[in-house]
Amino acid sequence: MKKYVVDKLAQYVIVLAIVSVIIFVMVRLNPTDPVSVIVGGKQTTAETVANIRAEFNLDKTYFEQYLIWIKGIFQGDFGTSFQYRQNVTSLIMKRLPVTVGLVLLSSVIALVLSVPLGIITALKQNTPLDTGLSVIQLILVACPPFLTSILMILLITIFTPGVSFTGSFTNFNEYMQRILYPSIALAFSMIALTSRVTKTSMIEQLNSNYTLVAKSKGLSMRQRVLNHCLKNSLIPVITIFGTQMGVLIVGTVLVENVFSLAGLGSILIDGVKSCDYPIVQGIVMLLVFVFITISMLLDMLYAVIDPRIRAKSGK
Amino acid sequence: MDNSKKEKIKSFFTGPVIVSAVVLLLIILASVFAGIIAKYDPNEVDISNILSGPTMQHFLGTDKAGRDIFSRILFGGRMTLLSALGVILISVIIGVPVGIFSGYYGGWTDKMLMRISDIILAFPSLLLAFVFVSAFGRGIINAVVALGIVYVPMLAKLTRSLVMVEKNKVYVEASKSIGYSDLNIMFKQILPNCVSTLLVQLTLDIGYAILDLASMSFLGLGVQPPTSDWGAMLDEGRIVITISPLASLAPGMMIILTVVALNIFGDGVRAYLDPQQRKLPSLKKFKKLVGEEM
Amino acid sequence: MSELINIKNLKVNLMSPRGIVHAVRDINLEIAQGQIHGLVGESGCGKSMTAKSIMRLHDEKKMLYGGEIIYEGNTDILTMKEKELEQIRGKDISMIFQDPMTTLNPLLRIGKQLDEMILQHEKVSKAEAKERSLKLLEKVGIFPAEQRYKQYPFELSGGMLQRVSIAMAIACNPKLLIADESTTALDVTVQAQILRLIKELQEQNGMSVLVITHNFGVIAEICDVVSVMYAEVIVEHGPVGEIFHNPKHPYTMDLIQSIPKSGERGGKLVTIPGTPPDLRRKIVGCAYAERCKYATDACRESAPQLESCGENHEFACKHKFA
Repeated sequence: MKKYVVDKLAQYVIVLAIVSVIIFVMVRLNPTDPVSVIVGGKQTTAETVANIRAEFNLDKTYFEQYLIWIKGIFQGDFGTSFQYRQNVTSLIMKRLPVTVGLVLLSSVIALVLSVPLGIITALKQNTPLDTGLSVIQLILVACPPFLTSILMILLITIFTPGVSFTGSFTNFNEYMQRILYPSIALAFSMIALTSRVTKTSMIEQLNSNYTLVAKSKGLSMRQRVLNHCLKNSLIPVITIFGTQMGVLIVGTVLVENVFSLAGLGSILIDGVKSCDYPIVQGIVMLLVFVFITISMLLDMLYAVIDPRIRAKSGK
Repeated sequence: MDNSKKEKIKSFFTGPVIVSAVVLLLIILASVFAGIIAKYDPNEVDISNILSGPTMQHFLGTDKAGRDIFSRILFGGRMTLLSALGVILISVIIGVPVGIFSGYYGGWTDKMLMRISDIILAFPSLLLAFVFVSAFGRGIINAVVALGIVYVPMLAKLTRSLVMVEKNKVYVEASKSIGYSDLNIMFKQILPNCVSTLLVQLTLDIGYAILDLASMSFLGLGVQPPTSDWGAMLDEGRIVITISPLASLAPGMMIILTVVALNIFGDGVRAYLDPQQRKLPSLKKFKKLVGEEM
Repeated sequence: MSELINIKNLKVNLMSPRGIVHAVRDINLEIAQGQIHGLVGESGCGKSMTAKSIMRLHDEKKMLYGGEIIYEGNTDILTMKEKELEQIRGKDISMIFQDPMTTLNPLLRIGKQLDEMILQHEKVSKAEAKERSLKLLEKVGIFPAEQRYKQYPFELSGGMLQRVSIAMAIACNPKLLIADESTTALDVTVQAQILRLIKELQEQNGMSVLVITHNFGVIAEICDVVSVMYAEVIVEHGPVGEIFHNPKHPYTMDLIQSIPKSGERGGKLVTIPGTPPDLRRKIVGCAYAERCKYATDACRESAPQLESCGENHEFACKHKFA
């Protein structure tokens, strides 16, 4: 177990380091001159250009710039945005509540609904209930979150006109109201995929030999599912949940756009469009960091569930 | 052709598969012949006739710039399908050979290629596409290339796992013993045996590519105005959603329809290849059958 | 001696995407109390299906039963409710399966899976259950029990796991133990050990055992009575000694012929040519006719019925071999 954890942690750190280099390099491949972004099209003298280059460390080598960036990250400083001339960290902090709220709320909704849904459809195989739910699943998989969001807005404005659910918020109640609908929209496609995987994996476990043995021991269907199959069927579910977390993190960018919420997405897309490197590299790094961390934690979860994984790397 | 083979082919054409195939065919034909079917130039602005709603002339109405929505759906569909195909093509050209080499040779080649895949997979897929676009600029070509690359690792890993199963089979050993080259064995002997499974995955991947491209265009990182695809149309229409819902509902429905049809078709092919997944008759029908025989 | 289980005209019809599969066509079988009863036949002839039917283990959404399985002379297992079945399974009738590597839940400790059986059927505390599990492990020859109790299935060998399965099956002192090809997946030496263990336990508990196998050698080793199955029907039935020395059905003869004889080196391995018939087709006449060297036109026209020839000895063949 110890070796497994150490291995995974080492991998985690290496991947993070490589990813940071890739992000740093990719962002700088754009031929646009940062200075023109910073001055925003105004006429400038050679002196101000030189000042700006010095201020944003653009006069240093790329290697030095990278080190400054990484060092900054460890001190919680993501550099200064070109177009806003503001500290990226404070820009991120202001927008973090929306993004974090969306990710947390939607993943909780998705997890709470999809696993039971998958189990039910597995148990009710080939019944009208199963067929009906499968059709809904199929449509939800095909429906990108921003489309779900647009449909939701349309429905809300038709059926409950006057309810405010977009834009800024001033207190916690309003905050929850703002993030509830986009979270549901985000959760939908995740529910569709995760419940489908839960279903197939549950069916596989229900047909397994050890489940037959459990039946021959006199265990009821309920006991077989909860005491035996559930744990075994969760392994592929964790895998899909991990990759879906990535989709969900990017999905926040899309839904906050539709619901006009001030999250990380809007400044990220703005940054991409206007070559604002510090913002793009900062937010991308943050999102990737969250994603990789979740993946790493899920890797640990495998070992907690499955003794074979613990043993394999224990020797 | 013997009876069992006929029966097998017949079992492929279930109701949902036929419907999805027809839908896909119609969508493909509509986008191929968009130029003939469309009555209007999709980019022709008509300020005097904006947001008209469905009429005899514009049977899906017009958008906020007075452009015919139906014509834009047709041309947008062409754009969407072509770009999705482009994404798949790029991922196949890189991913399949990488998977084959990785699976066939194993060892260091495998380790290195799989580490690179892992790094790409460390990014949530669309996010990597964003970074790519930020490096090389906005536009549909860059979006297609970006997504194509993002799709490579998944496909490479699938190919690799298939090859690893195939390479231990007797025919590969036989080919080796009569002195075929590695390249010949990999691409002429092993690959054809993996094609069917890969095709199923690619059918599903086209669906995902359509969704991801729509996301990028929706955010303004993909196709650039005045050209449009379904994703961009969704974005154009959502500002006027309460006045003229069709402007964004129509492309939205097209996306759902296409992806659902692709999924059903892909699942149908998969069930055909793997009879284990085929559906059983209902218990009622079964009881009747048993009753008749007894 | 009375019967514990009386199977009358059992039919098992399975659903498949291509139609009905008659996995068991018409089986009559009596399992007496305190006996080891062998059921022998080639793989796919329906013997496992019959065994699973006794415990109603099939997924009943995908199949239908016909006939009766009378338990202890009064109740028909095939009409029992699921709740009643759960009382019987594991407690009165229990089963050991073929592949020990997959019959235990890979994520649960050996001990937990043993305790579970006891706690399910008896009102005992967890500590008592553990106590009994440890004793059971020792009884089936697993040492050190305390340590094995805490291990996971992947940490034990196939033979060990099969011993655990046996310990689990006898945990509640069942009246009938079904051993479905329980030694097939094991090494020959381990096979013999496991068979001996089953025999020992049977002698101690006085339970009935139904041994299902394709291997006549296993039958010879431990069974009292044997039924021979071919293409979903029983073709011969009788005491083991009688069947071995005086087989009446050509299939039984061929099976006995094909047992490799120990000590005879370099001898030719005798096989039965051909394969069992396709279960989806309706069989007319004697199912063995296709492969039988004595087959005549009469055999192909109508199916022979079981008839008696001596004490408890029955066979279904139109030819009368002396």
